[in-house]
Amino acid sequence: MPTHRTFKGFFSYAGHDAKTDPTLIPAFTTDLENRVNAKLVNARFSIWRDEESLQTGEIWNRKIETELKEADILIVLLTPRWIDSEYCRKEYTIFEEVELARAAGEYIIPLLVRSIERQEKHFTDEQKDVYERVLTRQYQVADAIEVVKLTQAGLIGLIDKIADDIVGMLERIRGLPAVSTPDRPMVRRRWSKEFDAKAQNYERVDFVTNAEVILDRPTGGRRDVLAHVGFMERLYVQGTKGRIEFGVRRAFLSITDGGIGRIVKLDELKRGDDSGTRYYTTLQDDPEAVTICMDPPAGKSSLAELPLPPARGENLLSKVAAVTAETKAGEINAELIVSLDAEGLYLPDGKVISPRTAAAIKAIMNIANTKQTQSGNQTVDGNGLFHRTIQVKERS
Amino acid sequence: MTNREPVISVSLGSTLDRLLEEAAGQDLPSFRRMAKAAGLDPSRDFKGASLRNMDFRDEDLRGFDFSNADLAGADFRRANIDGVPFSGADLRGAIGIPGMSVVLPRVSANLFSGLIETLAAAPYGGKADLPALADELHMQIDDLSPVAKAMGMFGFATFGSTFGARDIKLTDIGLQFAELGTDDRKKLFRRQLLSCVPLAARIRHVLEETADHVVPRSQFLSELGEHMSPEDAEHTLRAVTAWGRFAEVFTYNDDHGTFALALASPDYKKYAYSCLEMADAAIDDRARAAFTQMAQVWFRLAEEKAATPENLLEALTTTSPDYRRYAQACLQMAESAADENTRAAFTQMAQGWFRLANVKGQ
Repeated sequence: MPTHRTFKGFFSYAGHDAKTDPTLIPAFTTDLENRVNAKLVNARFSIWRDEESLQTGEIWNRKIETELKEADILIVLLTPRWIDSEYCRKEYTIFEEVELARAAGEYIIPLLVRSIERQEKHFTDEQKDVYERVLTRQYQVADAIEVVKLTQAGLIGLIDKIADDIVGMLERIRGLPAVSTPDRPMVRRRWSKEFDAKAQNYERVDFVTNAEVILDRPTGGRRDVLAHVGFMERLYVQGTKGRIEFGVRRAFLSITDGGIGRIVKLDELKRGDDSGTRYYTTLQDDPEAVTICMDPPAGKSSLAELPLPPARGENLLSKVAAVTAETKAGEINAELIVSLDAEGLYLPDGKVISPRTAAAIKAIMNIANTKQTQSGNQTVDGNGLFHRTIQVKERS
Repeated sequence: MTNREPVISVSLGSTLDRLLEEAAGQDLPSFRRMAKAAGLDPSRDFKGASLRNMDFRDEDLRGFDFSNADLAGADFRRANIDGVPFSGADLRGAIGIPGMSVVLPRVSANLFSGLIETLAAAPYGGKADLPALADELHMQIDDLSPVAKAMGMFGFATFGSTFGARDIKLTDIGLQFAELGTDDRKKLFRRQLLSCVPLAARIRHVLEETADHVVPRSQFLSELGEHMSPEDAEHTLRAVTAWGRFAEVFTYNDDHGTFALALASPDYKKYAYSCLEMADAAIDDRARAAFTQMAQVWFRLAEEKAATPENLLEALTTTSPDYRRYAQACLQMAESAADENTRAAFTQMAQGWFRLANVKGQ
C-alpha cells in the first residue's frame, strides 16, 4: 500500500473580508481542498485557517506561527483589508522564509479578491513593500480579476485553475530531494515598481565601475595579491514601450599563475568571511585558479561598490591570495567573471502584463544581453557569464 | 585602474520593445515567439540559460535546447517538450517533464547496442518493420518492444506516422551510435541518458548536491512510489541503475543499497591541487614530499580516461608510495578541514588510499 502523504495549505485572510463576503471562505478552503484532492494520487491536501480568531489585540499567537512553518503552500486572499492587517502581512513574511529555505520553486498563491490599485497611494512603506513582493508571483491566478465580480461558473473555473497551480506546487515538493538545501542563503528578487533614480543607462555606462589587481611588496617571504572591484548597482535599458533594469547578481575574481602552483589561498578567507558574501570557490573550467566568489549582502539582490571589503590599513584594496616572494606581476593572470540579471520591468501607466510574461521577458532579455554585448576585453561563456581580463600590476 | 569599455553594440532597448510588442494584448504570449522576437535561436541560445522557476505550462518548446540550463523549479506541465535536450540542466523541483513519472523498460545496454547495430546494417539501412525484425532476430515482438521503446526514449530511434505505427527508424544519433567504438558509444549513451531520461539526471544531480555524494536507494524508490505502483517503481529504479552504471553516470553499491557519484577526472585534478596546497603548507619535508607525490599521482589519474581501481593501482605502483600513510594524512586533513566539501574530498581520498593499500596487501 502506498503511503498517503498529507500536504498542508495555510489560508491567510482578513477577518473583515470573511464577514463581508461569507461565500468566499468556503470556496477557497473547502471547495479548493476538494478540487486539489480530486487531482492527487497517493497524497492528500488540507487547508488550515484561523477559525478561532487566534490573533487578538497585540498578541501574536504561536499556534499561527507553528501552522505557517509547517505549511507547504500559502494561499493569500489579497484585499485592501489584508494589506491593512499587520498579522496578515506577518504571515506572508514568515512564509516567505519557509519558501526560501526550499531548493527551488514558488509556493505562495495570491488571489486578488478586491481591487487594491486605487488604494496604493495610501500605503505605508512596509505595506507597499509587501504588496510589491506579492505582485512578483508567477502563480497569481486572479490577475486583475476581481473574484467578487465572478459568476458561479467563473468562480468554479477559477478554483479549478488554482487547484491546478497547487497540484503543480505539491508535485514539485514531492520531487525535491529531502537532502538538498541551497549552498548559500537565497535572496528572493524584489521588483520595485518605482524606477530606481540611481540607475544608470546601460548603453552609456559600464556595469564594472572599477577592477584592479595589485601585487603587494614582498613581506615575510610572500607577496599579497590585492584587489578592488566595484559595480553599478542598477543599470537600465530604455525602449519606447518600457524599461528594464539589470544588476550584477554574482561575481568571481579568478587568479592564476600559469599553473605553477605558487599562488595560495588565505587562511582567513578559506572559512569565508562573517557576512557570507565572499568566499573561495573552485571553478569547474579552471580548478587550479584561486577564485573568490562575491555575493550580494543580505537583503540585496545585486552587487555594488566594494563587494570585497578593504583589508586593514588599506582604503580600497582587499587581500585575496598570496604568492611566493619572487613572483612578478606579469606572471599572474586575473579575470573578473560576472553574471548580470534583469530585475525590474517598468511599463507606462495603464499597461499591464502578467507576472508570468514579465518573468519570460526578463529571462529572454538576460540571454539577449549576453548575446548582444561585446567589447574588446570581454567575452561571454556558454552559461551567460561575462569574462573580463584584468591586468595585474606591481604596487607602486 | 578602471576598465571602462563600450559595452553595448546592439540596442537592447529595441529588443525590449519587440518583446513588449509581442506580449501586448495577449493573456499568454508564446515563449517561442518572444524568443524569436528577441532575435534568439531556440536551438542555441538557451543552453546554460538561467530559467529558474519559469512557468512553461502549455508552451510548445520543441526545438529548444536547455542543456546545462538552470531550470530549478520550472513548470513544464502540458508543455510540448518532445526531443528537447536537458543534458546537465539543473532540474531540482522542475515539474511536468515526462519521464519522472514514466515506468522505464528494463533493457540492457548490450541489447540496446545490438539492435542499433542490426538496424543500421544491411538489409535494414536504418529502418524496419518491428514484427518482421522480431522474426528475423528470433524474438517475440513483446520482447523486442521494450528495447525499441528504450531506443525511442534515448532519441536513438523514432516511430510514427511517416513510416506506419509498427515501423522503427534510427535517428541521426542512432546511426552515429552504430558507427562508434566502445568508448565513444559509452560517451554518447551517457549524454543521451542524462538528456533524455530525467530520472537519471535527477539521481546524478542529487548526488552532486549531497555533501558526501552518497544517497540511499530508498530515497528515490520512495519518490517514484508517489507516482507509480511499488512494483513499477522498483522496476524503473533497476532499469535506470543499470543504465547509470554502464554509462558511469553514478555507481551503485548492492550491499549498502546506495548510489554514489562516480569519480570523474575533474575531481582528480582538484585533489591534485589540494595536495599541492597541502605540500606548500606542510611543516616538515617528509609530509611535503608525501603530498607532492600524491599530487603527481592525482595529476596522472586526471589524464586517464576512466577511473578504475586497476588504473589507480597502475599509476601508483610506479611511485611505490606508502598508501596507508597517505590515507592517514588525508584523514588528518579531513579532520582539520574548514568546510564540509573539503572534508568530504579528503575523506574520499583517504578511502581511495586505504582501498589501494588493501589491494596491494592482497
